[in-house]
Amino acid sequence: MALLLGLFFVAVGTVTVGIFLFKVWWLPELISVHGAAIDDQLVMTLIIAGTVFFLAQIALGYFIWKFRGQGRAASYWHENPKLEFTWTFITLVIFVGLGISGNRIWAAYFQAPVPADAVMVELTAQQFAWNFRYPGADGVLGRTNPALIDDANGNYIGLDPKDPAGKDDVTTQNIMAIPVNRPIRVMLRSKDVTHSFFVPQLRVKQDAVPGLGIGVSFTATKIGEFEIACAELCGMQHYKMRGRLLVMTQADFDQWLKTRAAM
Amino acid sequence: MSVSTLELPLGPPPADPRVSLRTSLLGMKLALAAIGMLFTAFTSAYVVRHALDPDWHAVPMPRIMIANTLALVISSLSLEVYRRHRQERLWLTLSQAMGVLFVAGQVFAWRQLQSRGVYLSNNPHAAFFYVLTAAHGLHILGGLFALGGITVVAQERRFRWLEAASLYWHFMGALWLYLLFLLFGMN
Amino acid sequence: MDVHVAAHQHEAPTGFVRKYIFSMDHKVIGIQYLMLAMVAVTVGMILSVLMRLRLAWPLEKWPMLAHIFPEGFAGGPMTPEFYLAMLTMHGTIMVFFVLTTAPLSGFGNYFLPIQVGARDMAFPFMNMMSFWVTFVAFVVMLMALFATGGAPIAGWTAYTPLSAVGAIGGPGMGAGQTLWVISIAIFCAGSLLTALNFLTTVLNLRARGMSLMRMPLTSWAWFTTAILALLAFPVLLAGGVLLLLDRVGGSSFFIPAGLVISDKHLTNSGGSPLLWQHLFWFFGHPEVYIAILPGMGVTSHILSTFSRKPVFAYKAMVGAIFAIGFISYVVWGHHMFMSGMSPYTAMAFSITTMAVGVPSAIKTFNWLATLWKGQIRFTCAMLFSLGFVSLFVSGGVTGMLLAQPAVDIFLHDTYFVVAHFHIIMGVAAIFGIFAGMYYWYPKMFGRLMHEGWGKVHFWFSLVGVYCIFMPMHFLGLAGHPRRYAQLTEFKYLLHLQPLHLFISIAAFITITAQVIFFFNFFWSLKKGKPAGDNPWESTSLEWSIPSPPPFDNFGPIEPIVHHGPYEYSVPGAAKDYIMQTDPPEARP
Repeated sequence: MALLLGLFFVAVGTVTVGIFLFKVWWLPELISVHGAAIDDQLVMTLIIAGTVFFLAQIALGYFIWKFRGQGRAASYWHENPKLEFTWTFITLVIFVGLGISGNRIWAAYFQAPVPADAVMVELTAQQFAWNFRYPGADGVLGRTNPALIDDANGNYIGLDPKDPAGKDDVTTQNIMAIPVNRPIRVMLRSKDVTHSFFVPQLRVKQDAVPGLGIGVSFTATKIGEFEIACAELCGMQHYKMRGRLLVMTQADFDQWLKTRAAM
Repeated sequence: MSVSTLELPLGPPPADPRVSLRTSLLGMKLALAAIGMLFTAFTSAYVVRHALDPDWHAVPMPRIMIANTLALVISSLSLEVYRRHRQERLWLTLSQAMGVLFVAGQVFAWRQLQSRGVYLSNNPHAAFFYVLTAAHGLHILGGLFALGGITVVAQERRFRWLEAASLYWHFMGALWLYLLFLLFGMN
Repeated sequence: MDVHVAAHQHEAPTGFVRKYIFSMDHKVIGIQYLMLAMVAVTVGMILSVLMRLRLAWPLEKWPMLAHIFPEGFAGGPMTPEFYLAMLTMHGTIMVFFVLTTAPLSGFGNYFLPIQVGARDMAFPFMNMMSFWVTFVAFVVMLMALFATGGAPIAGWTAYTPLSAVGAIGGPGMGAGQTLWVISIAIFCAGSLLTALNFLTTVLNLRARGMSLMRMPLTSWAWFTTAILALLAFPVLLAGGVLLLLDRVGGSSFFIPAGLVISDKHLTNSGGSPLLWQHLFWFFGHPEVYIAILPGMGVTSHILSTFSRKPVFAYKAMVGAIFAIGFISYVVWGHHMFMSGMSPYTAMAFSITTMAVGVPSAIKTFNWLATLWKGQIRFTCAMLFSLGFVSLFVSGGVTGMLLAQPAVDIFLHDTYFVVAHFHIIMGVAAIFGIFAGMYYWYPKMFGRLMHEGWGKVHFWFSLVGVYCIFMPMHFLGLAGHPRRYAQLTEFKYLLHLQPLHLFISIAAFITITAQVIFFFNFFWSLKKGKPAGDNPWESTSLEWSIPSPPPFDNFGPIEPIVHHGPYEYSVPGAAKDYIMQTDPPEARP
């Protein structure tokens, strides 16, 4: 029993670490500028956590086998202040150190200034769709009013027809195009319940909370089509709340906006 | 030095809970801590909600609540007199009567607000007013039950009962003054 | 002093109803709680089987199940809303009616008074009330499961405004969600009564010589847990009351202005969805520790007993329990890094969360050091405790990732989180419960559980839970959001379907294996080996009295405590353990 259990814990440690090391299942590919720091931090923490995990499982397995009660009497002692102090101190340093280094990356992420030339996109989430809006040629988003929301007639976000600034706004549902290598600023809103805007490859996730406007910024580095998932339980079709993210060249993007505006 | 070798003084034999005043009072204090936590949570909700809402319109305090407050203060004071000189039943009766008066007055205040068209749904400040007064009112009803029990419970439990009930009742009085300040003192 | 020797605060009842149903005896109440938890865990497991069916074979039709749940399988396959209802009820029932009731109210009620040398809880009537209030809460929760319109689908966290807007939010969000809130509010009241009793009992009713620093770590854990419960449940109660009023009273505590749901305009205004999250998690995080701390206590106790060695660093263990309890009040924001809360607040919560890892690590070190140079006896209780240590480490280390807002951007609300909390507060806590059950069963029922079957149960459970929850980390790393009824809508998730299949099969086997436990439990009541007073050669007070203990626990003798709780293998002593009630001379 002792040997079996000891070996099992060793196996748990080894197999798990092995699967991580060989990246059998791994993060989706990275396509954003800020994501590199996040991935590095994630991997570094994973290595530390994995080491702790591995050593603890091995030690547990070894102790179980080594001290399987045979013959010898158990030793008797209650404490060892020096040892206790040492490991408390080491853990404190590791944990707080990790916390601080993680916070630096977090601060860099949310404090990054939004450049003036960033592409502005407004996102209004709803059960179970993503409504995007681009300001059009004038660079100004038209006024919206929740009272004017009328899904049946296609006014998903309550665009006010009286506001001239809104005339050239480009609206789309479940499809978001952005130019590659340009800063993007998305303003997140929700018109019903809480959703969460999640693009795994961008390493972006942010709740869209009704009553609040929350901004996220990122720069995509790769052209292609990706998926937008909802990461906050929002009702029965939560699992289906899918949007398409198209990352394209600036020229394609300009063309795309033009086509959309004409629609 | 290991823990087990510490020469610790042997405590007194465990008192029977049936006769232990200390146990009753401790239990009551812990209950008050939980009740305090409940109202702390309500308070934080109140503060957050107040700070976020541009349409916050404070409801003026119904006048009768001055009288209600006075009744509750008198009730608390007379209970304290009774607790110290337990012979005078009159003080206890006065305390109970004032407690009942408070509840009646609170119900009246509710009806007054409702007659003015102020409901849970149309005014956030009023919503908190209803929630806080109702939560407090339910605790007051429990307190009235406790005050009524003082003369009813078996002789050997009476002293404990009175002590614990007094603690509770004074806390409810203080809590009321706090709620009054929270609801109407900061506008 | 003959008053308290002769009179238990109430005489032993003789009628069936007063003895077994409306009993004020803490031992009967403890068993009632354990029974409630066993019923609840069975329901919870059935719900998880249904969930795993859907996840492994999303569009498969189940004619037999469709017969039982015609609405849940309308049109053939399980509907996504039925899946979410199962998910919500599984989480709620497991967290509240299993992980809170069994380790705290169940074992705590039975053994806390005995371990500190009391004849009963401080307030036996209140104790009886607490059970029946909890029972009512459970009945109401089951009503939510079968409510018209379906069970709620908002998850056990019931995030507003989804949970606040009523039937318009989706199937199950009408009567089901209302019953859910009512049940939770009632549950809060019951738990508060329990917490009050535990604290008063520990502080005032300890036997002679039972100083605080001579209490077994189990009692310390229950004591700390009771403090957490006393201060956390009122906050959930407050939140629940406000949520209920939003649902039925038309108020707008959590519902902001201008909501348009399914093309219907709501008239609410000014409420804050984040307010609910704050209130919920201010309760919710201490709740995690309410579930796990008793397991830590049981593990410490059992590791020491079956290593025949004193717990390493008893004082540090007590300190760590308290530190965890205290810090657990200032970490709740780590559930809300992506919620729109101030990112600066997130930084503070990140550091406090990392800090809570320190006492947790200390406990792990001390458990390993307790084993070091011990003489391990591989009883079922010990096996489950060793499993607890392993799972506690596995679930704990992933906390280092989730505690960092930057990393949490990717991992938040993915299966990585599901893996993390299931391992640490789900199965680790369950292993603590199993350890306690194998350990204390002989005391409660006078007979030992069958060790052979217990070991079979252990191996299925240990291998099973690792097979279920380890792969979920990989789902999370691949970016699989949690609470998805199926992954087939997303191309980037498609390659993960085999993992879901694997997890489901592991879950079915593991859950089926739990039948062994239930069988063993009931079989041993009649057929188990007679236990005697102290089958494990343990030291704490419950082992100094008959099994099962008499109505007033200690009979005519007042227990007097002379020793610390973990005097194993004391050099020169006659036996390899000194019971707490042994005379002072037992220690050479």
